Amino acid sequence: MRYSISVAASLSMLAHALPAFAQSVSESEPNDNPATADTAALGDTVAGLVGGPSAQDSVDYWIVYARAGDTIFAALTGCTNCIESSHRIELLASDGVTKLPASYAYNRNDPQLIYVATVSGTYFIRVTYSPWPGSGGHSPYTIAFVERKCPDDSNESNDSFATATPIALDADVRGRWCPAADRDLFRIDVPRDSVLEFWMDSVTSHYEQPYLILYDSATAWIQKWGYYEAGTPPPSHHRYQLRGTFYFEPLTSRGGLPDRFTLHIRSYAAPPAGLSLERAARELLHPSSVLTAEERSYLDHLGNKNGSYDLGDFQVFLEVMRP
Amino acid sequence: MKNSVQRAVLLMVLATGAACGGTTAPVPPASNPPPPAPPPPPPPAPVAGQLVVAWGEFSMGYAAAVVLEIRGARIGKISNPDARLFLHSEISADSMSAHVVLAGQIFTQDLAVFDVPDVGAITSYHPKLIAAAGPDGELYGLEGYALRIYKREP
Repeated sequence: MRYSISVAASLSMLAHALPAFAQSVSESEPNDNPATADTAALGDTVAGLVGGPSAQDSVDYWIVYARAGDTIFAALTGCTNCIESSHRIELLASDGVTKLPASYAYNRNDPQLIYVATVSGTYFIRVTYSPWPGSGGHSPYTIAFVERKCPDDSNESNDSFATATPIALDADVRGRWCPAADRDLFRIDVPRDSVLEFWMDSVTSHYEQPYLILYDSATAWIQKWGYYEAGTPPPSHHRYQLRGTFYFEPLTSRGGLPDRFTLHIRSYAAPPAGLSLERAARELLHPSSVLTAEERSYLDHLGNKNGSYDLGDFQVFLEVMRP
Repeated sequence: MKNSVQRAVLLMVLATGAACGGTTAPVPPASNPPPPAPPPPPPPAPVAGQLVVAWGEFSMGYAAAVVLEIRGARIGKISNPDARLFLHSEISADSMSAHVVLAGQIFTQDLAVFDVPDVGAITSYHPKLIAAAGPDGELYGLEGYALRIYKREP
């Protein structure tokens, strides 16, 4: 079934095509099919309320005009932090039926539709809502017909091992997971035997927790740490004795505008020759009589840095020395 | 007739009084001497075995690493309660004390296992926490920690 649009409506949309300034538009029910779609213009922000599949008003339609070559952005906001609920937004051709191959970028759970118009004319936006199973509720939403941009991230693009951003041995790297599913990979080259300490913070934990993954030079997993709402199992800092090329990947499945991380790297010389766990343990029971002053200083620098060698430093040394 | 009734009543009263025994003198019991006290049981034979130093019932009970001291007679070999942990121990020359370093993320209740010549003397052994540290190398205060010793069943 095709839909025709009145001359007045077309003129109105043409006027909207290059708006002098963006407008806020509220839906007017019914707008449940292309024939009753509410009109908006690129640049506008519209607001509506849509129900689940079993509810009344289970779909909303909006119509916009775009010229060939225009990029249609339709950034929906409505269920950003939902876990089991979400909105869906689709782009239909001027016949109100044909789905167009738009691409999507997500702000956590909220989609943004992106499409470069191939022909000048009208396009339909179809909005639906999937509520928590059985709830059948309605959800308010807004759609901004402008691009929803992620903040600048100087690490981009680092979405693959081949394009991983190189980072120094001692660095504090700030990054963003934006939009959702944005990958961030970092490469670190350790030219000589060293102890590497690293940790991640500034992370917002949620239902689907972020991770930090360490890969070897062949991009095989070495270890993965989760950052949970209920707290992350200690230790919060991780230490390895290593040499060569490695990759870090801070990872989340729910990136978006607010989702960021800071990755910290610190490097230390490899343990002095002859410094063993057994000697370090004996030093705890016989202070200043087993290790040299240099060895004690090294272990404290590697450990809790409180100015003297103690059990906490030994615990850190143990983590480093274990395979 | 009247006299007969009176006599019968009198006989019944006398008989009743005799049955109550109100005027009977008590018979003293036979005098048996108290039995001699049984000899004390022989002390149980020493049973060699293992005692375990563990977090106490009301201890906050978590540290990644600890240093322990154990005092008591003839402390024998000290064993690691969890093969995933690092254990270093030293026993004094007179076997009256031992020190233990246990590290590597302690998730078990048991901290050290040690041999003794007599597990029945369990109360003569005294553990003490000397130091505790967390997984990131932070030192913990010792308030809130408690230790206990129990006998490991063979």
